[in-house]
Amino acid sequence: MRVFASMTSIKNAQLAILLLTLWAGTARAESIQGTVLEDHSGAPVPAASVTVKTIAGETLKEMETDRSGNFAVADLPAGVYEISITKANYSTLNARMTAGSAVTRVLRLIKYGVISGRITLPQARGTVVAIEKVAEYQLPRSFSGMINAAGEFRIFGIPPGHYVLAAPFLSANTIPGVARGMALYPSSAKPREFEIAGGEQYEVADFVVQPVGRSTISGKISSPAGPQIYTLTIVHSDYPSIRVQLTLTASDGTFKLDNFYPGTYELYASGPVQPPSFFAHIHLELNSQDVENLDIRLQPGRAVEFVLPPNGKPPLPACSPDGSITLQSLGFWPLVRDQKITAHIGPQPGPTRIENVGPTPFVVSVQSTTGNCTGVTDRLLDMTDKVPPARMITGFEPPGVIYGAAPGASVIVLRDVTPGRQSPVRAEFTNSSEFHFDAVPPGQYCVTTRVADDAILRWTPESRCGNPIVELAPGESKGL
Amino acid sequence: MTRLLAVLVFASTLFGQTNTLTTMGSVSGRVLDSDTRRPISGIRVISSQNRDNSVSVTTDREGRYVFPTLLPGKHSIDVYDGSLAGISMTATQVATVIAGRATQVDFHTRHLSQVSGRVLDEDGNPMSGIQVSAIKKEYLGYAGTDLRRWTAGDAQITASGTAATTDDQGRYLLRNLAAGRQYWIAARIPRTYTKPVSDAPVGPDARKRILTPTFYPNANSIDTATAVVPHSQELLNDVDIRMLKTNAYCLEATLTDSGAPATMSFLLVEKSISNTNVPANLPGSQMTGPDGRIRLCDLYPGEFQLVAARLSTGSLDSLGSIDFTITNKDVRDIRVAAIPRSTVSSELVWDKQSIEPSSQPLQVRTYPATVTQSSARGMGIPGTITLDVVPGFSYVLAFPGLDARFYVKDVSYGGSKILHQPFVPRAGDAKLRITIGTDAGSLTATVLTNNGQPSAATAVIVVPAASQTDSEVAATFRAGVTDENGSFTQSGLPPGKYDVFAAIDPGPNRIGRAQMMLIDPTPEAMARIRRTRAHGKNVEVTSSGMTSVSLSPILMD
Repeated sequence: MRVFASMTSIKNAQLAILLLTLWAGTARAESIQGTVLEDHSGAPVPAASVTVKTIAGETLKEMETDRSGNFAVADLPAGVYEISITKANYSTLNARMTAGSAVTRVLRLIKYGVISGRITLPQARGTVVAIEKVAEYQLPRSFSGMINAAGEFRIFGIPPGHYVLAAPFLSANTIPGVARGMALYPSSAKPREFEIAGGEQYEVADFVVQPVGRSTISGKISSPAGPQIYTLTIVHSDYPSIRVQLTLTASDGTFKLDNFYPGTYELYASGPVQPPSFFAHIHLELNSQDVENLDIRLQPGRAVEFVLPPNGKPPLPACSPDGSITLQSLGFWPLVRDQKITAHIGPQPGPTRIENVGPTPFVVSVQSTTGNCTGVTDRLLDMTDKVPPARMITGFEPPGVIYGAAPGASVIVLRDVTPGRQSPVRAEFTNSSEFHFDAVPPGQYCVTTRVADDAILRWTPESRCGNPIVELAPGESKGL
Repeated sequence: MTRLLAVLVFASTLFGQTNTLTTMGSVSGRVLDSDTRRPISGIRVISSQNRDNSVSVTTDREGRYVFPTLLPGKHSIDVYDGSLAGISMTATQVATVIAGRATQVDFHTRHLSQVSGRVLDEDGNPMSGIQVSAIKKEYLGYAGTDLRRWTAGDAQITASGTAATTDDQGRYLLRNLAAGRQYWIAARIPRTYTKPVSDAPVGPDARKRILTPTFYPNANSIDTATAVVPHSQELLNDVDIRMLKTNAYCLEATLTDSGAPATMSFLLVEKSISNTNVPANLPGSQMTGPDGRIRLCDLYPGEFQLVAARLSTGSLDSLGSIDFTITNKDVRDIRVAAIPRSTVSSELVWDKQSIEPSSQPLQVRTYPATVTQSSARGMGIPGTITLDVVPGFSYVLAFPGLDARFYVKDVSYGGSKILHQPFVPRAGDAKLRITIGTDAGSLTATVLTNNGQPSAATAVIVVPAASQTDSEVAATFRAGVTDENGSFTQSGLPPGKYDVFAAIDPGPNRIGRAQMMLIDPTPEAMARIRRTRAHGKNVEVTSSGMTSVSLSPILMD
């Protein structure tokens, strides 16, 4: 069994299958038993889906946990298996378990959080949004709940992370008198931070949005293309994924928008309408004052090139020497082209040139066409800079590895805590105190070690991670 | 000084009022639910004398509305529903305003309702992420703006379009349901296949049990489920569904296009949820693997249809389908061959040779549409039109834009009569021949109450005597509402015998233009028409004739 456990580090899956097949005929039947508990409460989780796969990926058995959260798989050839546990409203757990030990292992599922309450708004219609707190230039996740006729809302299914609560006044067109903007709970100046570590249920008492002075903004958009209809998008500066306005100007490029709630906003203008070739970006600080006669002159978009290093070879045989680049706009641009631009890169030599990119910060990701290799590049492409980079170099790297030894521990838990990302929790049950997580994409990780069958100690500490966060670079192999 | 000014202002107001009272009249009334007679509050009532002169008010908690100052003359008083999805008229009456007089116009109508509840598992635990929808049963077909329905076959099961997903407490809320009609509330897991070839274990015993579509309260089909009938503005609470589980079985199939396995779209239709024709754009369809292979392993014992198609923008290039039943084992080696689209030539002719060519173009449409018919292609009569179809599929024919003086007298395909029947094209060059009748008659019904007063806003239902089954009734009945004189005229009727009656409550309906009434073609509504027609009058509409009949309103059975 020990010999087989170390097989997990061998990347040749076919060999593993072969060995497994050979063993299946001769080895005595072994079993895997587990109890699935809610991480934060320790309560059993009934009716969770359990899938048992070989390391090579073949599904052997599917079942559900019973009323006490228990499951058992008998008649397995000895070896290591990947157990996947899923249930609506919980983080998926992928655990490596060894068949043969008679112990019933405790597996803990992280329950998603809930924020509910009641809102008092001038126009209490629409949604309340929990927006993830992220570092600058990261794309936050957001989760929303509809406001019902009584003003009540309930946002559920919020995965671990830090959030603020916002009441966005969204307006797709110029309805007079309807507020535009965003208010945070309990006040935009001092928003409360909600931490979700698992199973939290926050009750927000009275989310009151005070009627305050509103701003009107007006002006004219012009470009070398001459007077015509232009598109205007306004997003909240701190939460650019919340769009507060999307509208078109009059046919001579003039616009007038009223009822803006106090706050800081980014105004993006583009045109001609389809396809956009001229752009502008303006920062607005609104505090009940009117902004009149804005003169917005659009400039042509700028080009950016992506190039693979010369003689670059794919890092893994499975990874193709070509891939795709995705530029995801941090500002919520009006037209799809500028929210998300994708382009193909490689394998032919020479740069991939993307023309006419608008002035917004973009998050860059590069992925190989086949295999699971990630591009190494600057994560941020800031086209709002006076002189944005004209060329970016990228190269593919394989997924990373996090390994190490944790004396005394028998379960090691790896959680992806990269803001904006939602990945299954991974766990490895070990008898040797050694652990090895392969195929780990670059990002931030929390590694915790636990006594496997401890039914009390949670896998998710109250704070985000008990240990220092592990930063994993593309292709990195990190020993702890 | 101030006091004097106040008196002056008061005086002028008083004079203004008097003046108004002598030249204006008022209209008021109540809007009540047809089924419960409870007031319908907060809905819009619009009075209009002409296009430029309309006033909008909202009913109060007692369902009352008032237009205090209207110009004398005839006003249309229209009641609208309050759906966010779109506003539509639910009732209309004409009020005659007389200067200095108050006119009362009451409405009995139906408005939108809501249904809420929880979805629970076998042990009573709440289930999150379950899709809940309201299922309805109707005689379907083409229900175009001209209300000429061509239904085919039995009443069919279809989702109403309103759906919700349960929250973390298992709760759902369905909005915008029509009042006074039956719905079956269904809970199910949305079937999305991220992998066309499932890696579920080979043996059914090694698979987990799966949730099957479950109808309120705990049934696997609408036949054994309990229907709910929400009333106007009602929130029907505690419609809790306890979900059923069964063993999971796999379907293994290969999809072919022009004889060769290929990557194409597939759609799995669960017959317990929907047994209608699939729409042309196959909503919810997914892609097979490169070899046309699929393996779907979340199937429960029941009836299914597997549709294979190649879709391009706006059209179905090829289509094939197979029905299959899951019992207690996997279904393997299914092959679905998609057949390329072809055309059928359709000839439009008058029933008499002597008629001059019609200036008004007529359209012939198939439902479902094989090719997106974005622009209406009209044609003269006589003439020829080419229809895009897939051989072997069942279509309903529709004729939007047919002049009210004419009617579809006969439809034949390859020499066989198919009037009021589904159109199933075959490979080959059989032609469709559509004969337009020119001798349509009209029927004018005057509805009077027992004391001889005209009965306004009353439904008049006309059913051909030859239509006997509910399906035939659904395909051929016509309905309208009487005007302020208690009169309604139905034109475009093929000569023959008809049963006609006036009904106080025809069931859930919509009012269209020109006094047309679209009664929801539910099995219960058709059964009520079938039972009530015997109490009406039997009349003959002669060739190009104008028949009149006097009726008194009756309660439908």
